[in-house]
Amino acid sequence: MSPDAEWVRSDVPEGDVRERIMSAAIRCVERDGVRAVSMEAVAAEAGLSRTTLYRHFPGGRGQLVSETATWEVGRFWRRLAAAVEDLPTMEDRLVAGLVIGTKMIRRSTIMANLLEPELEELVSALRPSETIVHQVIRDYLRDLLDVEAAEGRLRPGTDTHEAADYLTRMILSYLGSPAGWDLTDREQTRRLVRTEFIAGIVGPSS
Amino acid sequence: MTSGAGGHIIGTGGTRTALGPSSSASDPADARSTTTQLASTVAPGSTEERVVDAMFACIARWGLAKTTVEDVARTAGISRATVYRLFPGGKSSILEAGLATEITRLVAALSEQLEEMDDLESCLGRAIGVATVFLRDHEALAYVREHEWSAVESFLAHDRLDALFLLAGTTLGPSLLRFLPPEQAGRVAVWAARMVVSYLLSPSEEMDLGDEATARRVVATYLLPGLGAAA
Repeated sequence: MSPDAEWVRSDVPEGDVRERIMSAAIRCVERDGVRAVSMEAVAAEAGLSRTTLYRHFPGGRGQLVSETATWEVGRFWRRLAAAVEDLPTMEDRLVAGLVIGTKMIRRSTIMANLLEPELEELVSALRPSETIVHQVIRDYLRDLLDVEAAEGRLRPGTDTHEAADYLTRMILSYLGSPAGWDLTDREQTRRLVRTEFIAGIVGPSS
Repeated sequence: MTSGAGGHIIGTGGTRTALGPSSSASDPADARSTTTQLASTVAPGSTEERVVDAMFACIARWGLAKTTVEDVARTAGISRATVYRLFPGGKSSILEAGLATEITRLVAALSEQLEEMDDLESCLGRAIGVATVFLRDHEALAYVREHEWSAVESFLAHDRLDALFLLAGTTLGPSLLRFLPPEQAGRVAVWAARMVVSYLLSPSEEMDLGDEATARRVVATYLLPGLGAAA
């Protein structure tokens, strides 16, 4: 799961036209809302011709919106994985992941001022990727847990597949709905991770 | 959801707008002011209750998008003007009151059962099992889950899911006071609600929380070990 260097850089590599188009689409959404996204507007923003846009997204606006949304979701998680990669323990990674993830969500302007119908369009576009997001995070966590298990840092008898699924659900639930927890606060987040996330998983070594 | 992206953007299912810190309370269980975002529940036997129940009946039949205030009024046997007098916000405020009412009804039915149980694990297992089955079998919810998914998610946007979780905490929490101090009871109740919603929105092929024994095992494996550490 080594992070792709391009995710850490703020700019999309010049060479990748497809990503240049999707970045332009995101800027359009941030500035004018989802409804204002059109092939013309995105072409102008990207400094490319409409013909070039249609070559990469033959399905037109619908395909562009849907693929851009999915791409942006993937980028969010890759950035997060990269940000926590070098931390020593599961606890540290989870704490940092929640804090950084929450801050990234707050900083993003995509959701600002979205009208309900626009929200629905985005949600529909993302619906198919939700299951994939869940699976990818679960598999990523499972790999981490398997390493922890091999080093004797998990409670004896821990089912790493099930534990990874549990952690995935907690992460998604808390990033979506903190319900009163301030997840930008590291100490509060650490308390949460210790009590509700890993207490039954990471434990006295066998 | 916020000037930040919500859960939609990260693929979490439930969304929220980032309206800045959702609560400055350091103790999550005290963050109850958020629940005021949700309409209050309707009184049993009231006209409001008829409206709310009529709304669910309509959604179960025609779906959320096609249901109009007119349909709701007709089904409830009252005038459209009366519906708007009771719910000036129309459809979405009826729906908010309806959700809050259903949760309150569910918890009330549960609380009675929980009184007879002797330990936290059994209580939570029962609560999660019963809530899972109730929500899974809820006809209106089943319709929108099946056919109008994006409507569910955009409804849950704008911190409504947070409000629902906190409502679950304040209503179910008191049933756990025999086993836990108040702050922990509220937090554990919210945890149970999170589990139910997570498995409802992203069902697992391996785990059925509608099965009480399975729910108890999840409680025992992942929640109980952390309660000691917090105390």
